[in-house]
Amino acid sequence: MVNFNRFRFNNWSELYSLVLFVLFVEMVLLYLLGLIYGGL
Amino acid sequence: MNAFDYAVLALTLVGVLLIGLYQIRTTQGAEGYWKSGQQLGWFTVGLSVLATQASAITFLSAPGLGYESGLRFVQFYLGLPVALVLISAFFLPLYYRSGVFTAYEYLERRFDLRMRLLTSGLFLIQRGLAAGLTIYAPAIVLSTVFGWDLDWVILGTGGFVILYTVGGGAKAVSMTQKGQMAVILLGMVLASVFLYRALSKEYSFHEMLSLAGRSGRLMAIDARWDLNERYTLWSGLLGGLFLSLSYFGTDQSQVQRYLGGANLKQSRMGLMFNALIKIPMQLGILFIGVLVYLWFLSERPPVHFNVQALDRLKQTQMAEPLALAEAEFDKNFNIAQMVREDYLSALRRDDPYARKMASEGLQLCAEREGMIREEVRAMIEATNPGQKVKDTNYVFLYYVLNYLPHGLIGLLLAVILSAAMSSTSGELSALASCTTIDFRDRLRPGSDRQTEEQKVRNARWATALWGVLALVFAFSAELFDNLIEMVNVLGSLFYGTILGIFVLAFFVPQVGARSAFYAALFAETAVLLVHFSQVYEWPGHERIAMEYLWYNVLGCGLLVGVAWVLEGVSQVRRSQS
Repeated sequence: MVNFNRFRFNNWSELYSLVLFVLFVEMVLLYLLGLIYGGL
Repeated sequence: MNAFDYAVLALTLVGVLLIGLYQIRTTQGAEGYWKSGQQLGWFTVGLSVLATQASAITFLSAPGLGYESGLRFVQFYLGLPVALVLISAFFLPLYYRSGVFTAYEYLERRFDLRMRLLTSGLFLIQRGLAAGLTIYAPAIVLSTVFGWDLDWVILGTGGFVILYTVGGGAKAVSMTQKGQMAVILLGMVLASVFLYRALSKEYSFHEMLSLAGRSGRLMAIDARWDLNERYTLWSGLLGGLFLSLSYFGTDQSQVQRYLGGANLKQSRMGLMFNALIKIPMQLGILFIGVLVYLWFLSERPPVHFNVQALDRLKQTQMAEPLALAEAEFDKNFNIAQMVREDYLSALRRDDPYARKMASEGLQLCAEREGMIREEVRAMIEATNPGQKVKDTNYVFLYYVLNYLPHGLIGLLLAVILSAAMSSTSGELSALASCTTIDFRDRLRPGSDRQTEEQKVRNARWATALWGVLALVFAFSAELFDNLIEMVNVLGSLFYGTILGIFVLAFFVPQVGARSAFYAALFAETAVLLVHFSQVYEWPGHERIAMEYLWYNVLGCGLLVGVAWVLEGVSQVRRSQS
């Protein structure tokens, strides 16, 4: 059990998957930001 | 800066130091000095790792980069979370299981002493030079802006760091870093809130994004495959992955930070904390730069943000061309004001055609502004050859000093000095640990019979020695302008090879010390050749186009490949004989 105060994870793989998922979401959001507001 | 700012600055710095020192009053023995007694919780480990990487230049130049080119620099950090997951899953358990004090100690157990000394030596050269620059780079900016004497700024920040790093070792470093990071985050959050509130009087959030976006500053992701482009999605994900793997996984200044964790779990959680927070934090800092850009759409910016260089230029024969350039700049700024009004009104009444026309007008104004700035830079260079003409590092400081309220100015200065001290202290402690553990204690007969007191005394001497060396390098950095450029890429020149050695050590058990050693020499030579083929020209050679982030991939890949082949060849030979 990995316990970040209120956030609990059953094992390390769960936490690693979350980290990589957050990275993926960040990349998608940044790409969308450029797509919506980018360019002339 | 007024007395209130100086009071905030002094109180913040001394407060952080005292809290840090109070917490280390129980540190004892060499284990305590080098590995913080292995007592730190994940939050301290996480902040300490974050603070070691974030140097003062990060906080001076990242908003400047945001101002100039927007969010694209964030791509540099995309490989970082992946690297930290790999380090946490594979590297950390091996370090913990072997109970090492330095990352390179592990290499002797896996290969031989020669590999340990080679890698530790590469680290000492690269980090030793970088430690001097970590002090020098912010000192030059602060001394220019405030008119303080450069040597005194270097001595002040460097001396302060040396005192507490020598006194308290790795634990003092981590504990003070925790406070310094809190100051840094608080300062940056307050600055961005202030800036946003000031801007929101004039624009809605959508208008801000639209104005920043039309200038291309919100194009954070560049998915083109181009080895010549410094920051793309691919160079960030792949090159950044390798750079972060080497930096966080094999650089003693980072390894020492997380080896101070109370146990494997705390160290891992500290790293995961970084994996989650690093990209939002960098994005936030870059976004401050974008907000500063929006601010200077309605406030006239200086034609060059290093205003002291501009003042000096007015005393030379260039005063007249400068006045002409300034007049041209004013004219261009006034036109841009009108076009910006057109753009906003087109945006408010949702008229795409008028908006497109205004956007093109703004683009023309921006190009004209860029050309005038370039002319002024050329004037500065012509009157004072060798002077740095880029003003990226001065953008944020100019905004802070001219537009933020008193008190906040002092706090932001504390942010810059805290960042300088936090990264320097981590580096000094790591340099001293490698010198003492990998070289002195390992090579000197009878070192294993030292008492704990003797060990700590030696450790303190080594830290002080590296502190003085870093100061000497910082004092002389002014004399070696090209060297500074060199040190900036120096990390990437060696990191690929160092990472390759660790990859072999961790994941390729069949490769022996001999093959690894020669493969390391080969890979390092190849990386250096590629680099120098770009820097220098000689007849009959084609320039190899490659940005420095890719050196890490090249060095590591070549080393592993060549070691594999060499080991195969030597096995065939052995079986034949």
